[in-house]
Amino acid sequence: MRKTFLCFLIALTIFPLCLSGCWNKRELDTLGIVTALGIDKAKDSKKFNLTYQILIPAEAKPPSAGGGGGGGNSSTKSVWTMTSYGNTLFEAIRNATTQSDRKLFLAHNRIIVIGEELARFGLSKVMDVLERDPEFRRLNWFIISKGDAKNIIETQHPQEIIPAIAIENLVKASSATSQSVQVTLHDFLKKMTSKSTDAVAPCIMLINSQDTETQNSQNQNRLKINGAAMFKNDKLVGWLDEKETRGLNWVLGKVKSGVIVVKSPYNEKDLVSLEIIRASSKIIPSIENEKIKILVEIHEEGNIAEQPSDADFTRLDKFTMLEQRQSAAIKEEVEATLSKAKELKADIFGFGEAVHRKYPKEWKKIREDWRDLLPYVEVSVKVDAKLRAVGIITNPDKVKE
Amino acid sequence: MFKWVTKKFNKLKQQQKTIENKLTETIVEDKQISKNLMANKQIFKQIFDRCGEIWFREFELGTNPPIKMMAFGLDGMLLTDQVNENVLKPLMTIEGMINELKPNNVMDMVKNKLIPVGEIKTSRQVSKISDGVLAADLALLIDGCDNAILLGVKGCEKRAMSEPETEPTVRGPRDGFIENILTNVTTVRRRIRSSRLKSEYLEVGLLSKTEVAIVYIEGIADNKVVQEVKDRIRRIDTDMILESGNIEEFIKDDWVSPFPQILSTERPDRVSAHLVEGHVAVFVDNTPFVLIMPVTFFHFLQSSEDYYSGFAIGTAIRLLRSFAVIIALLGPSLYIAITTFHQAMIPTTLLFSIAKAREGVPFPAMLEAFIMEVTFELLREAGVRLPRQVGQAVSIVGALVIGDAAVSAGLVSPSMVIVVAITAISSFAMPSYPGAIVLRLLRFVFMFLAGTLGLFGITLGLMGLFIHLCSLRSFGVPYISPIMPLTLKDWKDFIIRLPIWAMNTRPKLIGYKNYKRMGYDQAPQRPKQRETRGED
Repeated sequence: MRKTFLCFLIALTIFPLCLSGCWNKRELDTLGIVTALGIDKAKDSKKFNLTYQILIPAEAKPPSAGGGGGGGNSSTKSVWTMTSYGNTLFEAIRNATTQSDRKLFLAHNRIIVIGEELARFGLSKVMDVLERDPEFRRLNWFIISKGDAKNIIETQHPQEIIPAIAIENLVKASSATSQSVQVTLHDFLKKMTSKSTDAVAPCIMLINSQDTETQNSQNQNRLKINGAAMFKNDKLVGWLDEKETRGLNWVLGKVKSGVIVVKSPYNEKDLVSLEIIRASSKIIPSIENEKIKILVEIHEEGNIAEQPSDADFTRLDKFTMLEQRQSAAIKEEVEATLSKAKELKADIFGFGEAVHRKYPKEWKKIREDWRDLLPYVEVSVKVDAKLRAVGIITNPDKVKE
Repeated sequence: MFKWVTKKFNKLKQQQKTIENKLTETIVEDKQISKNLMANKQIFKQIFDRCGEIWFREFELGTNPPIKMMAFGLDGMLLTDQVNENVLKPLMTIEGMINELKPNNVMDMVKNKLIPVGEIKTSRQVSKISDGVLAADLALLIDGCDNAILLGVKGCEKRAMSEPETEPTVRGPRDGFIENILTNVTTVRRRIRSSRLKSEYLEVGLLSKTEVAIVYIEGIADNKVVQEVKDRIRRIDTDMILESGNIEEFIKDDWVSPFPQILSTERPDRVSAHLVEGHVAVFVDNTPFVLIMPVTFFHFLQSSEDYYSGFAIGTAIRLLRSFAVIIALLGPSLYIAITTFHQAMIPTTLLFSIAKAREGVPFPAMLEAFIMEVTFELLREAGVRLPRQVGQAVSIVGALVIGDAAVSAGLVSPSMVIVVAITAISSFAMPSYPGAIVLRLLRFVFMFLAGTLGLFGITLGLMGLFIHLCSLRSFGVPYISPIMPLTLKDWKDFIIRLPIWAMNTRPKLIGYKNYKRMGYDQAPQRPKQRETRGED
């Protein structure tokens, strides 16, 4: 009897040690759930400036409850934005408790927006707390804003009650055009600390909506995710526009979908839209005569999505021509990106990594000044683009005259 | 603490012994009856003094000289027609054999030639005769004989067999046990028409003299288990057995554990199925609940209907039930633990909804859950006890209190109501009421652990629970037996149920004496296959 009791006690004390983690009793209504976080550099000093988007649970109505037309976003705010300062990020986070009665809870943060100025200044000092603190998740979407991050965090979105969710959805939706990138905190950290590859991050900006009917000035600002920010080491060095971003995605093989608009082989004035169905890429490095050459092979398949004229693409020669134009369009995009990357000496494609894998011995000699070598690397692009389907009609219905 | 309990127990035991001695002095008389009818009459009149239901009837056998006789029995427990037609009439209107009747052979004549009744016993002892009368026999005393005849013409009021209310099924036999032990045993005998089905009767209870039948199948049931059951029941020394639950408490292995270690059922088909697997059943008079032993915890998760629907459906339902058990045990505690300790575990959008629901609730989540659970348990208990006419009123109040008013008054959050409701439904998905009520009891323990230590506490509790379950035995069979000890062969009838023809062996730990149950390879086949394989 005593022995079994002893065994029981031992089991009770030893086995739970396998369980670990950070826990503490906190009722839900004592938490300020942060949904988005913006990090800026304070204008006049070395201080950091953190902007939080904090959920107001009582106002966060479930989608179905806000019925009755488009009046959902008018009166009540479901989030509260707040800014705190500090010499370090952690200090700034703690300083937030001087303003927020609820302790900030960062485990459900979904978005980290970094202001342009801070990004240009360098991120290495900022990233430590994001890695070290157990509450931050590595699956946060990592976004760079044009201008201050504060403005982004404070902007409402007409479709979603919680703007952070809207931003998250925008990031995810970028795969429909492939004109932006999807980067999590984890991805960014991995590339930032890599010796060869440089990081990119999606770019978020504010645009003024052209809609003159809405008089409310607050609602005029709209969020837009497009293009990407290009880093060299931990510093922002330049922006990629939407075409250049897709050029990057072609090389990385990350194009999921999108539209390529080419001129019609029949009539130069007509435009044909081609939908990207699938794409893949290969980066093949080679060393010839002590010169590094890189061959980028891109395979793409697409559909004809729209063509406005009565052109007949069942003709093989025209169809092949269309395929060629598609290839040319892709190549153009890739080369634009390549030249920009060479200009800024940032290896966002991971060419260095490819060379490292194939030529580990040679890599050791060049790795120190790889980024300076980059403009002299000969990169050739080979695009193999196919058209597979034409949709559910072959020839357009002609208008009878 | 245990010591204290056992001490108290022993004290109680001694007290009872003194009472028992007094009772035996007054009732058990080892006297024998005499040849004098008047003297005997006096004895029984004295024994049944102030027992209004006992009637005495004196009459004479029509011989020359007439022989005096007396019949007495318990009114209401005898078939009056039979008594009149088959006992009194042949004796009183005796014809033909008058000359053969002599005072010295009257006993045999009455027994063998005059009374057309099947069940006949004779006895000299006063105590046996009086016991027989109380057990609804008709006693016949003859002047000049020091033997009494006990005639089995019993027939008392009994309930008609109806569908068991605690274990209803959609498909399956509709008969359930009633309060009469003979009817119950014969219902099982109708299903197992074999002389190997043995039933041994014992009497338990000094005053109640309750009939208890130990039923098993010879050759399948383990003799040791049968002997152990008999021994444990014989050991019972009490004055009164009201229900099989009393017997269960006397004979179960671990009296501290809240887990039921003996299965009770109202279904004859279930008892028969268990008997064939090698279990022992204990029938108790005056209750429709029959005890089955040994059992494992998983027997409480099985319904007899699992075997009547197809195996795919049976398996799916069992899986669902296993899930329900987990919810019934851990539902509210998981909710408490996750919302107060591990908020990071909840999907973000779900957290937003829960946070909104929790907003403005004055109590911590644990207290909130306790309030709701206690309210529900109150309603459930009231619903069982209340007269049926009032039940409806309670259910309306319950629906309003739990469902609506508590939420709109801001006392509890709507999400907690959902959790409590799902838990309540899950706990009723368990087919066995005693099994479900244990889970309900333990649920409160887990809620407390979750509220104080979070998931860590729940893990601690689960470990304690499993250690306890592993230590339990039911008549020598480990309580969580197909898992511990691991007997993979028995998994055919566990949380999955294989087709009937695939369950060709009995449970290893219970029916190992007669392991093989049916022929192999009985899967339905197309005629051609059957030819090639050969039927033998």
